[in-house]
Amino acid sequence: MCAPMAIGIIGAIASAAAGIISMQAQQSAMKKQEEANQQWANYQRRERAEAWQREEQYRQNAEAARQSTISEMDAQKQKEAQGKEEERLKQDITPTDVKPDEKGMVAIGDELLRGTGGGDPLVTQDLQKKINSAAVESRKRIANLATIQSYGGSQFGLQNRAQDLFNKSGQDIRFQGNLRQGNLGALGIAGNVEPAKIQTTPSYAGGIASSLASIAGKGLSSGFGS
Amino acid sequence: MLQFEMQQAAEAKQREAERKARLEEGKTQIDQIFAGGGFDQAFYDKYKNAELSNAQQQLDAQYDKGVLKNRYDLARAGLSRSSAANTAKADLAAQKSFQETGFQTAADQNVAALKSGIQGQQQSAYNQLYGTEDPALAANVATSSVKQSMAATPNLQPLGELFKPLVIGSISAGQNLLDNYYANSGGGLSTTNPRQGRPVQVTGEG
Repeated sequence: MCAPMAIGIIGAIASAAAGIISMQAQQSAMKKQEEANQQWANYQRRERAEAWQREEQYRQNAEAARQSTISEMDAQKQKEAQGKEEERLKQDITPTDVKPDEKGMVAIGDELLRGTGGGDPLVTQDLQKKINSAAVESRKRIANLATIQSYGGSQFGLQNRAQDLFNKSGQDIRFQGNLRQGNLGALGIAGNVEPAKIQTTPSYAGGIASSLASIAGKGLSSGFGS
Repeated sequence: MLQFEMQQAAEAKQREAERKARLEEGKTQIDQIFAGGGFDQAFYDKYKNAELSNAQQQLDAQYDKGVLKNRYDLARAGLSRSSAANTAKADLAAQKSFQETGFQTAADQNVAALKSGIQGQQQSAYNQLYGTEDPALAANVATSSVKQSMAATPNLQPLGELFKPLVIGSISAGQNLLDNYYANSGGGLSTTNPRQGRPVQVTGEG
């Protein structure tokens, strides 16, 4: 009677011990998994923080480019640019001969009157008057053309100016956008990294505990039965 | 894990709120620039007046020449004071009026194109704003901006012949030439009536 009972008690104790060992192994695995998760979360936080910092820097660069253009597009600046271009064009497209001197006379008159010194003064004066009048008309037309072109497609006209400005900032924004897309793409890859998964393999102690528990059960039942 | 993901979601929400605020601020800024009255009617009128003045100057010059030509033609034909003279003058005036109407219409359309160009600038500014806030849109920013700010260019070339004056006095002028020819043929004044071939009858004395 004594032997089966003793075997049962020893088996029970051994089973309990093996169970404790198995539980400790599981707790260790859970702890490792938690640590792995924490490491993963830290990695993700760090990657995201760095990526967003870069993203913000690129965005600010793009915003600076955009602001530099938009600050040049307000009505006052465009009107000033138009006036400046109008003056430049007037100077540029007015033929030298048609530009008036201090007395308002034009050089083209001298050219045409050359060789008519012996002519009747009345005829000469009349010719001079008509030439000046033609030059005045010509300057009016030049002024109008300068105004029209300064609104449109002349070298620094409003249209070309706006295109240049938008083009420049557009290129900067596009460049920064490209960097941002690359940055966000890299962040996406980092985001796909998964935390390490700790696999809890079936413990030998668990099997032993189970066997010992079986032996202990049989021993104890025999002991109590006899 | 769940806490981490919730934290990420909260951060994303915060970033989106900031982005929305920046977009609203940017849009307000653009609206103030383009729709705040800066581009007033005087800005567009200056353009319109220059274009009209350019065309009107050419029209006036051609009209003056047409009037002179009419006057000389009428005088040569001996029709200076006639209903034909009135018709010719009225015709010139009508043509001038017709051309002026055309200039006004063209100038108005060109001002509309200029306004459209300014609106294109506004749209380009919006696009750049969206491109700045969304890198996926940034790739198209530069090219689309340029296209949208294009404005129509008015005709800057000389306008060419604007008037078609009536043909006046060609037959009368030809007749005068013929008379002169007969009158001067034979080395001086002829006593022969050039039309009938008979000697000119002297009906009175000196």
